[in-house]
Parts: sequence; C-alpha cells; structure tokens
Amino acid sequence: MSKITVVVGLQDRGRVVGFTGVVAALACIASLASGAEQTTRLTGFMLSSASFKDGGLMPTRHAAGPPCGLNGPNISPQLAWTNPPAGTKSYALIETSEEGGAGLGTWRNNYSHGVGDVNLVVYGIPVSANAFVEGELNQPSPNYVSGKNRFGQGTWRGMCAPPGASAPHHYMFKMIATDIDPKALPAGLSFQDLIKRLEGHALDAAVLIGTFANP
Amino acid sequence: MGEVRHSKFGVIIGGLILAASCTIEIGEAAEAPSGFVVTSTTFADGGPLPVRTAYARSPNFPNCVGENVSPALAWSKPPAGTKSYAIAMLDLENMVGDIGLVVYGIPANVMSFAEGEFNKASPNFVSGVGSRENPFWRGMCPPPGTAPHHYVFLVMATDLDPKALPPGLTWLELDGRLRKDRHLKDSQAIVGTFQRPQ
Repeated sequence: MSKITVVVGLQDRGRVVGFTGVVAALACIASLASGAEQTTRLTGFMLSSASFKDGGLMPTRHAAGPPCGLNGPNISPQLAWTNPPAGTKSYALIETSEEGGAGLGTWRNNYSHGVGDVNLVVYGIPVSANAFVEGELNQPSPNYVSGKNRFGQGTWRGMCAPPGASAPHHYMFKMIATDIDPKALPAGLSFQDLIKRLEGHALDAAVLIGTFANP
Repeated sequence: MGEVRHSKFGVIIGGLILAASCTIEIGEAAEAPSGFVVTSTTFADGGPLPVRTAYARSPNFPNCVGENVSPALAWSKPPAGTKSYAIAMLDLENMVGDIGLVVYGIPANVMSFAEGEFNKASPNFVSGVGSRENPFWRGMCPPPGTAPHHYVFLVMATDLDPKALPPGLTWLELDGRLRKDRHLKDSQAIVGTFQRPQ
C-alpha cells in the first residue's frame, strides 16, 4: 500500500519519502509509481488557533446558520501556523468533519483516512502569511485562493453537527505546506482537484482538531 | 533498500485499489443525528495517548518509543439496527493516513475492548490489515522533531452480520464495503495525540 512508503519515510527515518505517491493516492490516481522520491527534513510544522484549543470545543460563533438548525453566525476561526518546512512557497488548507456525511463519509472513499465532509478548501496562501484572523475566511482575500467545498462554496462553512448527538463531532483542519507558487493554481478547485494538483508538491502537513456539539 | 522496493510495489497496488474504489457522491445535507458515544479509559478525547500505546523500539524502528499496547475503547447508544461494529485508527498528519488498526465484525453485544485486546486474535473481532499489513494494533511512531500527530479512532456502526466480511480487508476495502452498500449506519470518532518524547 502507498501508506507503507509514508510510514517508512515519516516514522522511521524522520524523512518524507515518496510523498509524491502519497498525495497521488489521495487523488485516486493510478499512476502512483511514477512519483519521484523526495527527502525533506521535518521541522515541527504546527497549526494552532486562538479561537479554540486543539482537541477542544469550538465556540458556537463558528457554527453554520439556520440550515443546520443552528443560529451560528458562521465566523471562521483564527488560525496560526509555525515552523513550515524549508522550501515552502505556499499553503493549502482544508477542513473536514470526521463524522460527517450522515455518518456515511461522503468523501471518505476518495480520501483514505476517514474524513467525512469537506467543508473548506483554500490554497495559494503565500508563505509570508502565518495566520488568519477570525472571519478572514468568510470573504475573499488576497491571502488565499478559494476552492470549492462539498456545497460548492469557497469560503468558511461552519460546523453543522446534528442536534441531540451525545458526543461532539470532530473537525479536522489540515494545513499543507507546498513548494508551489501561490498563484500557480486556478480558483475553484474541489478537494480532489486540489490534491491532484499538489501531487509531488506537498512538503508536510499540520493538523488541528476542533470539536462541536449542537446544543 | 529492499524495504523501499517493496514500498514502491505497494504504491502501485495501492494506487490501483484506490483507483478502482473511486467514486464521488454528493448529496447528504447535515451530519447524522445519533447519540452514539465513544470513550476511552486510556486517553481523553483530544488528549495525549500514553507512551505504552506507541509502537515498540527495535533495530528496524529506532524512533519508536512505546510498548505497543492497544488502548481501551468503549461506546454506547449505537443507532437502532446495529448488527456489528468496525474500528479504524488513522494518523491524520500522514496525508493518506498511517493506518494503525483495521478491525470489524465486532458483534453488536460487544461494546468495549480492554487495553491490549487488539494485540492478539479474538472471537470479538475480525482482523483487517493496517498500513504495514498488520492484523493487530500497530502503535504510533511519529518521527522525531515533529509537532504532536493526531490519531483518530473511528468506530463505525453497521447493519452487517458480524460474519459478513472476510478477514484481511484494507481500510479502503472495508470503507467501500460499508459505505457503497449503505451498511454504515453512523460513525463516531475519538482523537488522541502523540509526540515522540525528545
């Protein structure tokens, strides 16, 4: 499996080996074998938020509005990242729900590690940026290029956990450091398109988890 | 280098499997309502996994620091009609996930596993295969110098008979079997973190 390459690389040698293949696998590309091996030192790339703590509950102000039976004002959370790997030229950010897709993992089959719904896809974030303030992902900005989430939206789409769930749902923010120019990708890419374009260009990824329960 | 060659071969096969299982489906609106809850006495949701659950050090794995004891898991309030459960553990930082555990065919009356129970064969689950073709728990082993990685444990409630699926399925194969035919009734995650002690 493609994961073997990653595991060998990331875990046992402290390097990224065959990352090309990994990214290709995400996009369901059959020609993975063509991926050239890379060797990159990991740096402690890290994603955090002043709006919530890793693994903790996200405030209701970040939740989606009435379509979800919520009154959330749908404000995007603050995000900050540090220690990008050497050679980083731009970042891509996705946000997904682990439990989403009516528990059926709408996108899961295309994204082999268990995510449900894709709620945010943005990229072309220049390497000079190291944070988004609250609300910055709610409207177009020179600091990112909008892709499309599963609803076709290019900006923040807040949490929509169902009412009555006993346990909070988990939302994964994944910041991917890439070696491509911030202007290299066209706007409007879907999650899958993005991953395909990042084939061979992803240097490292940092994850932040927020949880949310519909009160 | 033999290891790397094997990996490359694996990449090809993995790619074919991925390609074969590719489907796009857009439609569901909100996330499923359920009271499904997953807990662990080994770690708190969002908190660190103890070192004993990490993979054990060996000459081939000098960066690993643990004892490879599988963590305890328990769940309650499954959706009505649940006949069996499946569980997967995945490293979210590793792009496609470093998959540490794939098990399924857990009978509906089994709602908890003690520490170490995923370290050996049991009538209470059918083994799939993780990233290293491991049938049992394969603990965390993030590289030195990285920020904490996030490990998601997904517990999936299915309407499949516990004996319905053959052993040895990969995560993608399992996901295909559960999702494509709408056998997945709901899933609930619990996330643990782990950082290699410096």
